[in-house]
This record gives sequence, structure tokens and C-alpha cells, in this order.
Amino acid sequence: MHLPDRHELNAGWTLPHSYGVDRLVLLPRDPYKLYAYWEVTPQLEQKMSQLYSGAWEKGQRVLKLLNLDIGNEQLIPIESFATNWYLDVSEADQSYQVHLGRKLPDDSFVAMLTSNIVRTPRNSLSSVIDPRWRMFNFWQHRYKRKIMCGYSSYDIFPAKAERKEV
Amino acid sequence: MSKGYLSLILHAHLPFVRHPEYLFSLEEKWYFEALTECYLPLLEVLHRLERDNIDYRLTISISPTLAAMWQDSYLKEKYRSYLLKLLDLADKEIKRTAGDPHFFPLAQHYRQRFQSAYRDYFEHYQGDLVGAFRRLAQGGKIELITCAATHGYLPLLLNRPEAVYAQLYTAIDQHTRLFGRAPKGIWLPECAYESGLEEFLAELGINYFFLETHGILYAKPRPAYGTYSPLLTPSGVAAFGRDEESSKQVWSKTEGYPGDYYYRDFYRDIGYDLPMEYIAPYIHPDGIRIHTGFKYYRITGKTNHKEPYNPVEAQKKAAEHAGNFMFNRERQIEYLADVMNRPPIIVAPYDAELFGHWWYEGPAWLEFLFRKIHYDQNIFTPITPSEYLNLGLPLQEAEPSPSSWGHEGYHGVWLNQENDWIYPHLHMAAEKMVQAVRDFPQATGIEKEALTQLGRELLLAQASDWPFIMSTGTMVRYAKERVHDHLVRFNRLLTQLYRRQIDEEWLRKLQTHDNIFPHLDYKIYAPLTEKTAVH
Repeated sequence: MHLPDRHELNAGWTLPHSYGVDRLVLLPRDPYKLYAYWEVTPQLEQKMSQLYSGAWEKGQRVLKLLNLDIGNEQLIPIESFATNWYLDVSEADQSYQVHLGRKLPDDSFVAMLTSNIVRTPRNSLSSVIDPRWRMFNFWQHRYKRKIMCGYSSYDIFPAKAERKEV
Repeated sequence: MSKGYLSLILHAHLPFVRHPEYLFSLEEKWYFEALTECYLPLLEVLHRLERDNIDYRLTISISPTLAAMWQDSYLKEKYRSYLLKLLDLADKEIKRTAGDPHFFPLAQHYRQRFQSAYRDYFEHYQGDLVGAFRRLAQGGKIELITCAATHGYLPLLLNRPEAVYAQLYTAIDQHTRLFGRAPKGIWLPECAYESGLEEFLAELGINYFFLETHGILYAKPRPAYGTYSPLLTPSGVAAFGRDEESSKQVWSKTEGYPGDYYYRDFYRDIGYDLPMEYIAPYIHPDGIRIHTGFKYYRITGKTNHKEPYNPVEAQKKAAEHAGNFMFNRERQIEYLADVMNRPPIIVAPYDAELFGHWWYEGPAWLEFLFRKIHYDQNIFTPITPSEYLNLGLPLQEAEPSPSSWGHEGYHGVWLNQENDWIYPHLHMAAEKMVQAVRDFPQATGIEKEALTQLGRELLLAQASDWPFIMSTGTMVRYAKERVHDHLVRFNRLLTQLYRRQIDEEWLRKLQTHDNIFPHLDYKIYAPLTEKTAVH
């Protein structure tokens, strides 16, 4: 039986560089890093340019990072041709959103795309204790026992999970 | 009297690496090696434990891609030719090493291993490993659970929830059809968890899943018993946490058992050591040296000088290590039972492919361990997660923390500069798939077939294996091609569907080639708000 080869199955097609859809997607990577990617169609760019005639082209492309829990925001300058960005954040276990837009010459920020909202993972023990579940000095015991066996604090409360090493 | 429980979990998974389009495929060889070295030896161990009435418990997650390959007739026949070739090499090795006090017995050892693999697979199991595991599970000592359909990395697919739903639904559907009962538990691919996943699991009838240690430890509120009791997530599904101590003893390169100097060295192989004119027929057709499976040396030490492997000595070590593992669990459980005032559970999950492939003596270790637990101690009892939940111990309610068992414990292995390019394409394809179900709600005939194939291509593109391989830096081209190929096929077929110009001949080729999940229903991609309860 004749079996098709890879090229025949793909029929010479390749992946597109863009999909003609305006979108800004935010993904949480770890407690201190987010990843954003986006596509801006020429139509949207043109619309913004008409709305802010003159100022838009002179503006700097930026991502506005919002921490929705503590309510602060930060403008991150990005290169005009970038289509994705890694964003460092200082707080774990917080909700974030980003806007993609431009900082205009008068220092005002104009958004053209808004992302979904994500929450960064926790990276430490929760301070919330359920009173119905006594801790039985459990954590303290665990700590002592491991110290006696020569473990370090890293081993006890790992900030990093152990990698599969074999 | 038993003071606690040990739950051993094996996660058996390989990506879908069926390549009829290549005369020789290294990736199919991964699968054949895993059959010979892992799955068949594991079945052998389990059958012996059953025969001897050992009261063991083992939970095995069988990934749907692996189960699909077990079922595939093309791969079954290709495995036959693979084994026959190995047996041919075994005969030559026996002649070549004749008279050598070290290597001749090893050549015989391998011939015997490959002969028994052939006999077990083609005669005893009739090429049906799904049936073999299904029958074993009926005995009640083995609990079979599932994984996501193509091992998709769910936290990074969650922004199109239908994609996650489809990964889970397809897995549960396949598992139920093949193994005769719906899975009670699931192994989330890469142990990767994001808040909200448990709601899908609850809707699909799953009772429990597993988390990396800190997924439990960092739960909110703080878990009273750490990983030594499952938590009840907000949706009512239980989450078990990986135990750090028992994991380290097996996984760790420095402290783990598999690195013992008496164990077989994985890297020294006659595929690299013997002259080209001798070994050429048994390596890559392009003359690239690869592993053959004939490995004659033991790890020996941190040195290039290697001593010959001695299977008898290695077996003794496996028994010793099983005893050590049991002893450590006894002390751990005694201590925990004392401070917790209730029986702790130690959850120890491992990749099934570690046992036999990387760690040649792994299956023997597992057998020794279960026998020792049965005969030599009464501090703890082996248990499956379902049995533990049936004990009815009260469970603390808490929200687990997003996490994975990858390097650094979060999503970085699957989202970094080597592999981030895949997500805009994967997310867009999922978006378009959901839209296609909206646009073709009652497709029939060729359109229905095209929609079903779209679902298959999307699932195959989503495998976590591809971004993982891109991160590790070996076989990168293959992984990139897999994501690229499935997405290209998806895009082209979608275009044809909307233009009402489906190239039927080409679609047939896709169906023959990417033939996973014959029962896939494209409507599982219906927008979530429009879905009714799961049947």
C-alpha cells in the first residue's frame, strides 16, 4: 500500500505569521513571570492612527501592566515590531491584566487591546488557617525532623519542585 | 497494626509516534523499546504478584496516546519486525562473545529477554496490552486511571476552556471504551494544575487527581496534614500530593537508587561500541549510531572506565534498595501517624518508563518491594487512591496552588523562548474549532469526517511532549515539525471545510495517518455554555 509522506500530507502549506485577528493574550508562567502575545491588524493600527492623528505615530508602543489586587500599574516600553513579551512581576498570587497601546507625546496612554485576566501561582505557605483543622504542631514537627536528618530549609519548604533528574 | 498507607502510582505515557510514512523512525523505536523494557516486564511482574497472592496495590495511569498505540495494528506488525531484528542481532552476539566469561552470559541474557518479549506479546497477549491490563485491573489490586487525550499541558490551554474539556472528555471516553469502566482518577499531564481545572474534572465524573508537593503545601487555607492527606478542592474532587521523600529516593540523580554503581549503564551500548561493518544493519539506515538495547556494562562510578554488568549482583542491589525504601516508609509513616493522629498516606508517583528503560532493574525493584511489604512488615498497607477515599476520612477543603512537576515547579518548561511560538497557533486553532462547531452544528457525511479530523489534528498538536522536547534541546526538529504539521493540516482542512471544497483523497490520507481516537465526536468542542451535562 502506498503511504503518504510528510510533505504530501502537509501539501506544501506552512503556518501563517498572523491570523488577521486583533488579540492580546496573557499567560501566567510562574509566580514572577507572565507571558503576553498579541496580533494587531493593520486596520486597527490605521483606525488608531486616524483617531489620534499626528500623535499616534510619534507615540511609543507600550504594554500597561495592571496589578488588579493592589491596584497599581506600570508602563513597559516595547519594540514596535515585537509580537510577544515576558513581563516580570514582583508579587506572587496576584491578578494581572495588560493593555497594549501607545504612550503619546503628551504622556497620555491610549490602549488598543486588552488582555484576559490571569493570576500568578502562590510560592509560599498560605497564611490562612482553617480553625476547624488544627495544625497539631505538624509543621513544626516536620521542620525539626528534617533538620535532624540534615536537610536544609530549601528541602523543607521548596520554592522549586524537584526536577526529574534521571 | 497498620498505621498508614502507601500509594504507588506509575504514569505510563508516550506521545503518539506512529510514522508509516518513514521506513525507519527513531520515535517509533522509543515506543518499541518501552514495550520491551517497560510495559511487558511490568506485566510480567504484576502477573507473578497475582499468582503468588501478594496483597499489593498499584495505580497506573495509561495515557490515551499510549493506549492508542497499543491498539494500532500497524505498530503491532512493525514491533514484530523490530523484535525479529533484535533476535537476529542476539544470535550474532552469542557467536561473537562465545567463550567470554562476562559478555557471553550477557548476550544470552538479552536473547532470552527478547525471546520472552516476543512470546509474551505475540503469543500470550496476542498483541493486546489493553486487554492484558484490563484483565489485571479486574482483580482489584490495580487501579487504572487516565490522563489528558494527547497529554496536553492544560494550564496553557485553559484560555480556550473547550480545548481543555475536549482533552479530558476524549481521554475519559477512550479509557471507558478500552478498559471497560470509567476512570475514577486522572493523572494531569506533567502534574500541571491551574485553578479551575477541578471543575472540569468534577463535571466529567473524576474523583481525584495528583499534584506536585507544593501544589498541596501552598494550598489555601494551609493544609493541616501537608501532602499526607488529600485535600478536597472546591468542586469536590480530591487532590493527592506527591511525597517529597519517597520521590527523591527514586528520582534523584545523586541520591536515587537508579544511579547505583552495580546497576546497568544505559549509555554504553554496542550500537556505539562495535565496528560499523558489524553493527550497520542494526542502527539507523543512514549509518548514525544509536542504542541497540545490548548494554554490557554497569554504571561502575563517575568514570569512563566501565566494568561488565552482572545481572545477579544487580538483582541483589534491587532487593536491597526495595528493603531500604520500605524501611524508610515504615519510619516515615510511624512518625506521621504519631503526630497526625490519623493514618497518613504517602503518594509516590513515577514515570512508568523509568522502570526498565532508564532503570533496567526498576521492574525487579517494584516486585521486591511489593513482596517485602506483604511479608516483612505491618506498619503500613499499600492502597489505591480510590480505596483511600472510600475509607471516609474527613478531608480538609482547600484551593490547591497552580504548579507542575517540571523544573522550578511551574509552567516555565512548557513556556519559554524555545517553545512560546506554538501558543498563538494552538489557541487560534482551538478558537476556530469551537467556531466550526457553531457553524456546522449538525454536519453529516464528508463534512462531519472533516470536522472529526480537525479535532484529531488539534489534539495531536497540543501534546505537552513537543514544547518539552523543544526545551530540552534534543530532537527539537522533530517536535517542531509535529506541532507545525498538525496545525498546517488543521488550517488547510478548515479552509476546505468553509469553502465547501474538501479534498476527499487527502482527507482519507490524514485519516489513515493521524488515526488516533476513532470514536471522536467533533461536538465535544461545542461552546461550553451550550453544552449539557456529560452523559
